[in-house]
Amino acid sequence: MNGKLLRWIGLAALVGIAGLAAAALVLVPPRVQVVVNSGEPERGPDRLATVEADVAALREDLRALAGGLDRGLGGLGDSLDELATQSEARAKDAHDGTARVEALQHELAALRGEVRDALAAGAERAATSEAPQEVVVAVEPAVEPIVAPPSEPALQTEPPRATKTRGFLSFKLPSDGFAFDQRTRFAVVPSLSRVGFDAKSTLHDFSGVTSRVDGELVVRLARPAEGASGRIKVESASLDTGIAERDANLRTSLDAPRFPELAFEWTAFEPKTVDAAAQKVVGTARGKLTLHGVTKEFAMEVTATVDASKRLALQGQAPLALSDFAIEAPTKLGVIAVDDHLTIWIALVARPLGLVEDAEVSGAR
Amino acid sequence: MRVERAALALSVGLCASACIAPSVVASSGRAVAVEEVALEWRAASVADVNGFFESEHIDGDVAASLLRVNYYFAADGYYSGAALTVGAAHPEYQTLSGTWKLDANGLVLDEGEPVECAAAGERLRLATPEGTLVLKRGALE
Repeated sequence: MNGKLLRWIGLAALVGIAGLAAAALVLVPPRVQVVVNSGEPERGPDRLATVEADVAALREDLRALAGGLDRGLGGLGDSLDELATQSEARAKDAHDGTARVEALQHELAALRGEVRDALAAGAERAATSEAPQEVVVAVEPAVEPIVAPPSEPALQTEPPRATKTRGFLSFKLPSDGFAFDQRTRFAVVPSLSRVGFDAKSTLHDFSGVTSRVDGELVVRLARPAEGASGRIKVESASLDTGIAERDANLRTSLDAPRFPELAFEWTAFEPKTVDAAAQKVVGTARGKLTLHGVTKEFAMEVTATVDASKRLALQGQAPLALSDFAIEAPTKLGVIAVDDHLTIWIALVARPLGLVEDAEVSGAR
Repeated sequence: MRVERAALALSVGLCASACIAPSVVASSGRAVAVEEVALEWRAASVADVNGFFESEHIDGDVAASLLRVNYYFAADGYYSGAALTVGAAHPEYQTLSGTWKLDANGLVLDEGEPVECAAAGERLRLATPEGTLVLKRGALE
């Protein structure tokens, strides 16, 4: 009963609210109003006069600017004229310098040609001389030998030797594998080399020989006193005297199993003659000889020549006392004895392995 | 007894001395003797050139920088060569190949200048102003 009453009260309230809303829409009119306010323009300065005044001012500014530009351009022109004058002077100087350099180059080329001709003529005269003894120049160690002088550094216009090549049967070969006046590294060719000794004994004289030799030499043949060096090694057990029993005795005396190597360390050369035309050098090779484990200062007279194959043939001999190296001379039955003094000799052939820079030699020392 | 022994040793020594000839190498004979082979050179023919060769002897300026040379000349005009050169820090091999032919002036490699080419038995001699190369025929084995 109460629920039904409440529903009716709610319905009545809704109807009432709706009615009030409809009444409000009908009773309230729209109230929007637009007002346009027109009247007399405001009074002020003359705009045309103002614009004319502005234009006149702009003209004055432009005149001033043009005057400034004229002055600036004038100064710029003067500066450019001055620069042009200086440039012309410099160009003239450069031209004169270039002409001077060209003239010097011509003079240099002419001098080179004269030097080359003189050297060729000298070599030809030396080669064709009927008295070769007169061509050989005796050289004291301190005296410069007569050889083609090395090029002055300033005259060296050729590329580095690493890039220099020449053709032979389509191969490109290094062009400077050997030169008499260049420091060259040589390697001993064992098959073309021999080292030996000549000994005296109570029975008969005999030689011991071996080709088991190896080593390298560095020498500037035209100036052999300057930094000649090298090392020659010989296999001591390979010395052959032609008689097996005597060889065995020799190996025992040299104690070959313990000291398998005889070595000569070449440290200096004292030239007597340097003959560039004949490509021949005679002098004394000095160094240290190691024999039987004993090392002693040693000197040997040697002759070095260059053959047709550009190989260095080195021959020499020197006396040697076996007792100096703590070697007992071989004996047999107490009566057959080898003399303590013998002669050792070398007959080496070494082929050039290439040029050696002076810096390389001094650096290796 | 001591005198007898000395006399015996002396007589043995004298006998041995008489039997064994001195064996000193003459100073002129110390260098290694290179065998000189007398060869009769003639102008090479195609048959002389065709084949494989190894250098036997190199003379002249090029000898300073040329250690070994090998050539293979094929019958169809192709050739290949190898040279061991010195002059750099270490010996170096250089190889090349191309064409070869013989004309009236000698051997022509790669259409270059003719090289004087002579033959003697199994040997071939190539001569230029810079050097002479003597090659010996070898076997490809």
